[in-house]
Parts: sequence; C-alpha cells; structure tokens
Amino acid sequence: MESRTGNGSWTEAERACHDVLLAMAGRLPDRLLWRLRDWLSCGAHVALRTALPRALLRHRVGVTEDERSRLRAAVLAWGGPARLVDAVLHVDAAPEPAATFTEPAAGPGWDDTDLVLRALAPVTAGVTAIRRAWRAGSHTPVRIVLVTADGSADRAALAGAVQRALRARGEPDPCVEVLGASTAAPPYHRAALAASEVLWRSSEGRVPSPTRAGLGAQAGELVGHG
Amino acid sequence: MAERDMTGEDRPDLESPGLARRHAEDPPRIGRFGFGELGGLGGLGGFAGGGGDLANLPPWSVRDDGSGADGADGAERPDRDPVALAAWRRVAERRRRRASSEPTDPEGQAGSVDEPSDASLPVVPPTPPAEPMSQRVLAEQALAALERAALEDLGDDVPVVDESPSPSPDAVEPVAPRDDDAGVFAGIAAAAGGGNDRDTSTDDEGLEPWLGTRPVEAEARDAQAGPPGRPSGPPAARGGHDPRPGGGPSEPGGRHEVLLSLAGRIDDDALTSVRELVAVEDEAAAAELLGGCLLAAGAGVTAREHAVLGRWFAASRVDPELVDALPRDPEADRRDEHRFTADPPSASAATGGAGEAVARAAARLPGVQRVQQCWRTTPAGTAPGPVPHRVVLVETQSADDCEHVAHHVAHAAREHGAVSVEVFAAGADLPAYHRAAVRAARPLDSAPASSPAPPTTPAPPAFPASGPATPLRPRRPDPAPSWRRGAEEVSAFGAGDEVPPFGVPTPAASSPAASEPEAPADDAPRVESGDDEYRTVASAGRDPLERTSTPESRLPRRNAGDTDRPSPVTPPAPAPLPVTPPAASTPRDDAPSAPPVTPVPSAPPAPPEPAPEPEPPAEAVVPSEPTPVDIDPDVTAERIAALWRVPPPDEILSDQHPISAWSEGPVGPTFGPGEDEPVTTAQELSAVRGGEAPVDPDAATGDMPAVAPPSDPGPPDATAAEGRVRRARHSRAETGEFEMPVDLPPAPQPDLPDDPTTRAAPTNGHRHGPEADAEARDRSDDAATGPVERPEAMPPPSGPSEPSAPRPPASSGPDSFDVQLSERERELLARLHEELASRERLAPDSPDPLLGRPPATPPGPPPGSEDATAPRPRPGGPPPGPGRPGSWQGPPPGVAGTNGAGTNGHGPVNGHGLPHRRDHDDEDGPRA
Repeated sequence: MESRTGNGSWTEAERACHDVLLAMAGRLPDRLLWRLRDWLSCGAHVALRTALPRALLRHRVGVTEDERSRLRAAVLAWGGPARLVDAVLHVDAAPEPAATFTEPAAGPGWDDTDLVLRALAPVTAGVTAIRRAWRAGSHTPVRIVLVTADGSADRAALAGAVQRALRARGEPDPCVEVLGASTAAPPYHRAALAASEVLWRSSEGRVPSPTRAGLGAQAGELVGHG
Repeated sequence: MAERDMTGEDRPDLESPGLARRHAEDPPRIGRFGFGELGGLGGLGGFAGGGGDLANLPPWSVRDDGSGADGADGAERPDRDPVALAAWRRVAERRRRRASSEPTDPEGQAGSVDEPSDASLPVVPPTPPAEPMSQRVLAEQALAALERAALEDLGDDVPVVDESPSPSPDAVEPVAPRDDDAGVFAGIAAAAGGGNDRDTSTDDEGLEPWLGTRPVEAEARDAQAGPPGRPSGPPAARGGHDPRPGGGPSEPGGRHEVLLSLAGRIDDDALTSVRELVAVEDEAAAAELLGGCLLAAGAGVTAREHAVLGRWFAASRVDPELVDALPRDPEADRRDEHRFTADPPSASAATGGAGEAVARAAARLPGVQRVQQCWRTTPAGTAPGPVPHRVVLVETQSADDCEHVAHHVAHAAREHGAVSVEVFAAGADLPAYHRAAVRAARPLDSAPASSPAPPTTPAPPAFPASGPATPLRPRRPDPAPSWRRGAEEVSAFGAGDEVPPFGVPTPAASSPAASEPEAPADDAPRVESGDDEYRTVASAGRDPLERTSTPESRLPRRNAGDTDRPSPVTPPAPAPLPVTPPAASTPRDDAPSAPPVTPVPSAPPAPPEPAPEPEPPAEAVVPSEPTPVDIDPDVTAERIAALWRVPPPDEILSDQHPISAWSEGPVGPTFGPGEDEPVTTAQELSAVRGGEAPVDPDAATGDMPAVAPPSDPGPPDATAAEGRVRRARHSRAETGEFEMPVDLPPAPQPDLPDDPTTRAAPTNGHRHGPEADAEARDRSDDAATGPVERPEAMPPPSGPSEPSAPRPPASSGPDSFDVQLSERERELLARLHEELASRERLAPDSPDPLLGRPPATPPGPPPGSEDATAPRPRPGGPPPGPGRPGSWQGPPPGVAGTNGAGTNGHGPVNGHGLPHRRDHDDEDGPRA
C-alpha cells in the first residue's frame, strides 16, 4: 500500500504518537483524528508536534500519565514545545466509550467498502485481520474499521493507507483503528471489537463468507485477538 | 450590495478603520481566540465563537460593532496606526457634527458618502509614513497626537476630512499598510514577549513558550517575505479590509488568493475547512490545518504563497517551521494538472440538489455575479475523495466579497456532499486550476435560470442592458430585482444580479403588466442600495427555495410571495402608486376622470423610478406612468389601500391634529409654506431629485433619510418651527404615521391667525399663492402622495404638463441657498420667507399672496380638513378628481386633495403628512 509500510520508517516517536492517536478514538472528533493520523502516516511531524497537543487542549481532552508520556516523547522528538504537552489536561484512566456499537446482526451488513477492504487485506503487509463495526449514536451508523497488525508493521502508515481507501470510497472521515498484536486495546476498541464482524483474517485459509462473518461468534474471537 | 455592505455605505470608512484596529490587535489574539479566549475581542469573540453564521460575522456585524466601539477603543488605544487614528478621528468628528447639528441626518449622509474618502484623509498620509515595523513608536506618537487633535480640533479636522475624501481609494492604501503592520505588530508583539499578549487561556499560556521562539522567526520571514514591501505594494491591493495576518481577502497576494491557488493541491475538504476557519476568524486553527495538509501532501508553494503563509502563520502563532518545511515550487500555481468536465457523472446526476442549493445560496448573496459548476475528474491531495468531484465556481463583483461568499456557499454545499466552492472576483487573474475549471464550467442553476427567464420578460431588457454577466442566476432575470435595483444597480451590475430578484420580484408580480414600465422607475427611486439589498437578501431565502423546487411554480410563488412581501417592503407599494400618479396627472387634466387614482399618482414618487435613467427618467417616466397607472390602479390601489387603510383613521385624527397644531401657531407658519413649497418645488425638482429622496425612505425604511433632507432646508427659514416639524416627521417616519406629523405641519396654520381666514390648506399653499390652483392640486397630491408618495415621483413628469402653472413658480423659485439643499427646498424656503414677510405686512384680512384666497376659508381649513378626513376614508373618493379643481378655489381644494388621497386610500394618511415631506413634495412636483 504505502512505501512506508516497512519497519524501517517506523520510529519510536511515530509509534508513540500512533498509540496516542489510537487512544484518542472516541475522545477526539473523527474528522480531526483521521487527519492527524493521516499526517502521521505522511511523516508530517512538524505539523503534528503542535497540532496534536493543541487538539487535545482545544477539545479539553484529558490524558492519562501513560498517554502523556507517549505524547511527550513524540512531541519532544519532533522538536515540539513541552509546555504544550504539560498543558494538556489529566485523567486518571481512559474514559469508557460514550459511543455504542451496533450488533453485527442488526447492522447494515456488508457493502462494497467491506469487499474492497477484504480484497486489499491479504496483500497488505503486516495485516493479520480486518474487522468492521458500526458505531451508533450519530445520525447514521459510522463504519469503524479495526485492523490488526503484527509487530513488524508500520501501523501508522497502515492506518493512513486504509483511511485513504475509505476516503476514496466516499467516507469523508474514515475511522480506522490499527491495533498492535501486543498492545492492550483501549475500552473504545474493546467495545468495537465485541460488536465487529471479521472481513478477513490471516489465520483463515480463505476469506470467510459474509454470512459467516456476520455471526457473533467471530466477534468473540476477534475480541480475544485484540 | 455587497460592496456597500463591505464598505458600508456611510460607515464604511468609520468601520473600516475600526476593523483595521481590531485586526491589528487581533493577530496576537487570534491564537488565543482559537482556544476560546475572547476576552480581548469581546464583541468579536461573540461573533466568531457563537456565530455559526459567518454571513453575519464579517462585514456587517463586525463593522457595526467596531463602529460602535471604535470611539471608545480608539480613545483607549491610540497605539495602532496613524491611519487608524485618523479614521477614528474622522469618526469622532462626524459624531460631533451630528450631535452638534440637528441636520445631522443630511450631514451624516453626506458625511457617510465622503467618509470612505475621509479614511484617506490627507491628514492620514502624513502620519501613515510611520511604518509598522521600525516606525511603530513614531506611529504611536502620531496616533496620540492625532487623537488629541481629533478630540480638540474636530471643527478643523472636518475640512481636512472633506478634502481627503476625494481620494477614496487612498483609504484602502492606509488600511493595507495596516495589514502589514498588523502582521508585523503581531510578530513584534510576540517577539517582545507578549507585551500585547493577552493570552489568558491556559492553552495560550502553554503555547506561549513555544510561541516565544516564533517571533524571531516571524521577523526574519518578514524580511524575506518582503515585509518592507508590504506597505507599498500589497497594501493597496489588500483593500484595507482585513488587516489580518494573511492580509486582506482582496489583497492580490492575500490569504484568499493563496487559498484559491491551493485548490487541487490539498484535499478538497481540507481546503474547505481551512476557508471556513478563516471565515470564522479562527486563524490559528486554519493555519495549522493548512500547514499540516500541505506538509502531508508535500505540496510545493510559490514564493508569493510562502510569503503570505509565513505572515499568516506568524501572526497566528503557528509553528513557522510548518511553512518553512514546505517545498518551494515556483510553478505550483501554474501547473495544469487537473481535468474538468462540464458533464456531471451519471451517479452525480441524482445529487443535483447540491447544485441548486449552492445556486440558491449564491443568489442570496449580494456580491455574487455568477455561479458555474464543473466536475473535476482528477484527485486532489493525499487523501482525495471520490471523483469526479463537483466544483462550483462563484464569481463575485469584487475581491472583498470572496471570503464571506465562499463561506456561505460552502456552508450551503456542505450538506450535499463533497462540493468544492471556488470564489473569485470577476476579472481576477486565476490560477491554472481555475482557468481550466472555468473553461469547462457551465452555469449552475439550469432550472432556476429557465424559471427566471419567463418572469423576467419585463426585466430582461433591463438586465441585458445592465450586465451580460449574470447568466447563472435565474433570479436576476426576475422582474422584481430590476425593480428595486433601479437604474444604478442594474447599470452597475448588469442584470440585477444578486439581490433584486427576490425582493423585486414580488412587486413585479403584484402588477406584472405595469411592472415592466413601472418597475424600473419605481425601483430606481426607491432603491436605497443598502436597504433594498438587505431586504432582498432577507427575503431571498424563500424565493430561491421556491425556485429550486419548481422553476415555474416557483416563479408564481415568488410573485405571490412578493405580493405578500410587499407589505413589509412597503416600497413596492409605490410601484402601484407611480401608476396612479399618471392617472392623477390625467385626472388633473381630466380632474374627474380618475379621482381615486389621482391621489395615488400624486403621492407616488414616480420620479425615482426613472432612476435607471436619471435624466431621461422624467420623460421616460411620463410615458411609463400612464401604463403603470392603468395597471396599478386596479391591483396596486387595493394593495395600497389595504396597507394604508389602517393609517387613514389616524390620518383623520391627524386632521384633527393639524387643527390643534394650528392652534400652536408658531410652528404652523413655517410649515404651511414648507408644505406649499415642497409641492411647487416638487413639481419641477421632484422629477430629478424628488424621486431619490422620497423614493423608498418613506414607504419602507428610508423615512428617516428622506425626512432629514427636507428638514435641512426648512431650518434656514424658521429653524425652531422646522425643528419641531422635523421631529414630528421623524417620529412619524419612525412610527410609520407619516401623516400625523405632516398634519401637524398644518401648524403653519398658526400663521392662519395672521391669515385667520386663510384655510389651513392655504397655509400650505402659501408659496404658490398666486397659483392657488396649483397649490390645490399640490395639496391634493400631497394628501394623496402621503401614501402614494413615491409612486407619485413618477407622475411628476406627467404632472409638469398640467401643473405647468405651479411649475413656473418652482422653476422661478429655485434660489440656491445651500448647495446641499435641493432646489425645491431652497425655493420653498425663499417662498416661505416671502410669505411670512408678506403675511406680517399684510393684514390678516388680505389673502396670502401665495395661497391666494385662503383668508376667507380660514374656518374652512379645519372643516376642510375634517371634510377631507371624511372623504379620505373613502378610497374611491370621487372627490379627488373634482376635489382638486374644487380645492383650487379654497378650503375645498385642500379637502379635495385629501379626498383624492383618500380615494387612493393612501392619500388620506399621506395627505396629512406628506405635504411637509420632501418626498411628498417630490411627488407633488412631478405631478404638478
């Protein structure tokens, strides 16, 4: 997908930033979040070093100490101002997701975009599974794409690539969550995984049929994976 | 419209300075503002923060606030630019003038006109030399001195101001420097360590340290970008609007131009968001988003773009490296990388609603000249959306309109999916992207265009003549627009582009047949650029929707809506009136023929209608009048009657009032002549001027302005009495009860005491004394005019034929006292003086020279008024025709006149109040 999908370009700062951005799912507006992730995937560190902390400040989003440390690492690594990071509000723990996710059986079902993702996943390096959930609460259900990547994958670049694919499919504010195999999923992602359908999974010899993918059983497996 | 709005009619100058100050101050705040700190901005903050509607934010609201607050602010902050100080000073002067002199209204108007030029006052130039960067200290000193001078030397300054006004363009220049200055100051302030920094928000504070480094960079950039050059070159271009960091929207190298040139280089939605943030004045957020997108896309920027972005980012406290990291690409805006097609994709056809929505939104905006759309078949940015991508091209009359128009249209398009809105001024040098798009673009509102065409049948002629360029908007073609816009608007813009369609259509619709001929004449006079536009804009909303839904059906709806709207628009009513005027003229000749109509015609300021053709109007009006009369009488008469019926009772009361007023004596005398005078003067002059002043103000909102002018002339003769009269007029105008005050003018009857016998009405006719008949006519007209006033403006031309007798006086009358005063007014004043003198000389028994026979009727007047009142209620008042002739003779004439007015329905009300007003005069004048 992206030239940067390789390990080489995946730096600690980017990893930290990606983790922070991942944790911000459901806490920052989708439009802002996807843009920041896109910048990260493009290496626009100069923009991120101030834009990310400012986004948190503007939206009064608090961060845990762990998140703050990651944020600080990224911002300082890119030459950003530490005071911006210090100014970000504090929370003891990541808040429980305010959003709810529609059960797969009750969701819209598969669509063209799902098929596109399933087609791309097998040829995208580092992807071990792609799931899709529908987030409720807004006017229309919001597609949440959950990508599970192995440890070697450049998750930031992967997120950017999937985002662009969704953008091309007409989703102005794509929600793509690229999870690491070893990282603990935040509450938001746990809830999403629990209500997701598997579009493709590397462990399976072949792509599951849509009908099977709609079964809730798979969702459980996915959750375990996350 | 837009221009006016942007520049502001009277206030533009004042406002612009205010803006400049704010902007100059804003830059440092902006960053904070983004965080939600509005403290410094105060009112602005409210706008920006709460203002979901950008439309209101930029020009009007902000300026208004600024103007309001400018005085205080200016006093508080002399520090900014000398130019700003000069502007502030001018404002202060104006205010003083207004406060000092009652005629402030006229002055204010005149001043307002001059104000823009005032901004460029010669005084300013001297001070302006102080340039932002190094000369800041000097500038501050100069400002302080200016403020002192302004406070102390208001009177002295005035002349200076007047002088400066001539070079209106200069005003822009001073402002432009400010922009630069603003940016510079921002940078300096930042560098200085926030001496100016008011950042209160924690966020800002957090940012400060980081920001602290910027200032230095910003300065360096400035040097590169050519901060020095700023004052000279860019300033003028900037148009002085926004001293904002990025420079004024109109600035050639300004922010809007840069954002325009970046189309196709970053994501469409990102660019739209940036423009929106800019419109909301969230400079920092806009700069951050833009910088990040450019960096992510690796988009190259030209040196010019880099310079603008550098200033903008520095002023917004956005990481300067964000701009520096952008690759330089001198050819970035010249590459023709994108392809466009005029044919929408099959799939998009379903989404045709977006085009209509955008067209509607654009049609609602004053500055929009034309709207086109095309489809881009190539992706833009790193994360492009689906293609083909709809691109709407909006062409505005001036660069100043671009930002707010872009925001409005983009907002309208947002709901309809991915739509890029590119707004640029007509004739602007476009980037390759837009040139390619324009080549492939087609007029947007196919449906609307078609729909408008039919209704426009009347309008079409006007539009073609006025301007060819408005193909896109169907609304323009609407007859209505042609109406209000009048000659000026039409001529300037061509086919009344923007506003007219909405507001105008209604009147036209009301009287379709008459609309064509009448519309132009009425519109012109009434068209108060500002008011009409606003009205049209306000009303526009509905119309566009209707149109979009179904062109044909919409059109009728519009018409219906117009009819409905007219009531608010009252001005439209004049349209019918004008029609009546001709009738009136005829009736005068054939007095009995069309009594009811006559009253109306008399009142209607038909003259203004000719506005499109200032000089010819009189002639044109004459021919047009007859037709309108025929048409209007039926439809419009009823409308008008309905509108005015309510007032008539008041009028009746007013009749009573006049009596009481007469008892008051002192005021009365002045009035009587005033009324009479206006009539005579109006006859002649009305054709030319009458239309203008009277036109809309009375009927719609312009009352005050219209009133003001008359007041001015009056004062010279009997200032005290006039002052009272004026007040009455104003109050009436405000309350909508014109007649009452007018009746009061009968107060002149107090003169009656001198000429007790003279009827109250005669008092009015003093000036024409010899021309009693003319007076009677005039009076009748006046009465009628009250309601019809404007429409009558039209009649004046026709009137002349009959009123020839009265005319002579008018023509002879004109004695130039003050240039400002209309000839009519002057004449009236002179006559009044003469009359007063003659009255004093003559025994009460002797009839007034002007009035002629009035003396015998003195008792008559009251009765006459009463009688008149009785007939007035009668809209159809057959009396009008006969009344006039009868009125000639004595009190009856007055009554007759009132009756005539009453016939119109409007007449009664107007009849009382109108005579005094110039408007009435004008109306009368034309008829006479």
